[in-house]
Amino acid sequence: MHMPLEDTLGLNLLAANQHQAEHNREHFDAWRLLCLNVMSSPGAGKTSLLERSLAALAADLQMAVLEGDMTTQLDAERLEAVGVPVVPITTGRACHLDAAMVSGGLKLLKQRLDPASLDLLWVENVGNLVCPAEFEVGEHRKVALLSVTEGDDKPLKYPVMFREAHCVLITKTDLLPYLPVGIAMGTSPVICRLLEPLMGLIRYMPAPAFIPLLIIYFGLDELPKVLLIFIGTFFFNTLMIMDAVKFVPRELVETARTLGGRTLPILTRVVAPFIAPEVLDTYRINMASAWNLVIVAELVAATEGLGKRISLAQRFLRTDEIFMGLIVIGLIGLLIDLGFRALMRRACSWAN
Amino acid sequence: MHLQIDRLCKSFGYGAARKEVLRDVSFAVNSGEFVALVGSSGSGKSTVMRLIAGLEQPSAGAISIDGRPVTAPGSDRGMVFQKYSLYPWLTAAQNVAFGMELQGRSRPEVRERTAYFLEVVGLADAARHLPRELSGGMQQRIAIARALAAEPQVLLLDEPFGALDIQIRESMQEFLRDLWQRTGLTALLITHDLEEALLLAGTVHIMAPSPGRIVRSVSVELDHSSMAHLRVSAPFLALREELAQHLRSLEPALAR
Repeated sequence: MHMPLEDTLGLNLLAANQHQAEHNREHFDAWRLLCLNVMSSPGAGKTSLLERSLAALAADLQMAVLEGDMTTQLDAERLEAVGVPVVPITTGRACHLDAAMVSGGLKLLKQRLDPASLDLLWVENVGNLVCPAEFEVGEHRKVALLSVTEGDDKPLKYPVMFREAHCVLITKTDLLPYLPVGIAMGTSPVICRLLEPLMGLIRYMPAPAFIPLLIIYFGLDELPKVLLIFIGTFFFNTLMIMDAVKFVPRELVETARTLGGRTLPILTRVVAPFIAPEVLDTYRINMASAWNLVIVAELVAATEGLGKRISLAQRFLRTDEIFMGLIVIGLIGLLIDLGFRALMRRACSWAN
Repeated sequence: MHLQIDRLCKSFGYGAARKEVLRDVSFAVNSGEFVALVGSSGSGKSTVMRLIAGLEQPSAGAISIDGRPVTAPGSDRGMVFQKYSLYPWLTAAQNVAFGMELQGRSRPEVRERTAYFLEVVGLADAARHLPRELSGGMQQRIAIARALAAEPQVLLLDEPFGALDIQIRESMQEFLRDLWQRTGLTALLITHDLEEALLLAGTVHIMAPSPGRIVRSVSVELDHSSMAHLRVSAPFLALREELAQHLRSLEPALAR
């Protein structure tokens, strides 16, 4: 288990740091500013978080950043571009910022502005989940970032960081939908039971009935059409994929397990290839309803498009244009279908 | 390598639906041995195999390899299933390479060992074929090659020839015996076919149903040099008949 540093080194390093940190905090309190210490592993999104936060808060708050980095000033340059004062602190070989370095950074900051004018001081620590957790810099609050790509075991492996943090931000959650919901439902009975009733319910709601809502919320642009197709196909696709996953033969999964395979390789190398033909076929069939929904959306509410042309032609009784529109719609649908068949022949020849 | 199975018990279900499948099953397998478990369906022999593979957990008792307890599946125990468990989207060679890739071996090593093990099972020519283009016997030989390529300490064979025609079955039995002699592998065979067990194994444990348990263990001391000859030799037939009678006496419906 975790051993405090002073126990292993016989030094009172942390106590000395603590002393300096308290000194820093007295300064912060005297200047009436809030200091946040932002920590995470490398690449979890600290600098991106700061970029966005600085831009969003710049109008309301006076801010500055102390930017810790081992050798470069790349991040400091990125943040300087937002227009907020940034003091780079290069730590050299140290894998964290300590209170003395921050104190040094404050001296540099004071040459540029009066700290008492600040509301918020950001300290961006070095990318590391270990040492920064131990070394206080005088901050009022610790913020830890955890990105979804790091894996859910990180709080277990680096307990000090996640225990010390006052706030943990989960980042890169936009990647989550790419872990297909259907695969999750097909492999985990719990997720399946949670989501299946909801999915079944929404699946029976006719997608075109959502058009009025979508127009009210999102207007007449592309977005409501994209959302309509999403509503009309997502739930059906998900349930089909879930079923396909349930029918993966037990032997194929167990063989991989006896060959030493763990969950993730089994999902990517056994489950995914096995269900690929069925998934493609489901997509092919659903493409027809997606295509229908585009035209329906254009008939009801659009400023251009094939559906709009048909509804215009109706107004002027131009039946020839209506027939032409129908033929074009049919031909495009057929091309999409042929494309999917060709893709299946190429990608899943083993299943034919 | 010493595989120790110690007073293994297994029940499925809870309360009134609880069914005892195994009671106090104990035996051992040592390096280079060929051991068979024979029993009718319902005698729990497949459950023993799944427990050893780590695919299920015992209700009581212990399984260990060289003193280390078995708790989960691992590549030290290779398994060959009765039904063809080849990945249908991979060629024969890719199937053989599959386990080694999961183990993270280097690409040249995987290529070299794949070629070697295809050679070992006599299917070097079939390397580029998809499983559906191979006969049942060939598919099982690929499955055996895949299991062996991952360097298991013991090969678990769960009715590996149960789904094959009788002629192919016999040639596969000779193939397996020959493979065992050439490679010095350690094997545990599950079968309902007494003749198959006696032809292949040095030690045969006979299992009886409800609950599954070992009722008799035989060490087979016969001349295995020619399998065709062995099949019809008098001592072999006598031993087979004696054990078959014992098996029949265990079935309440048949023992009159």
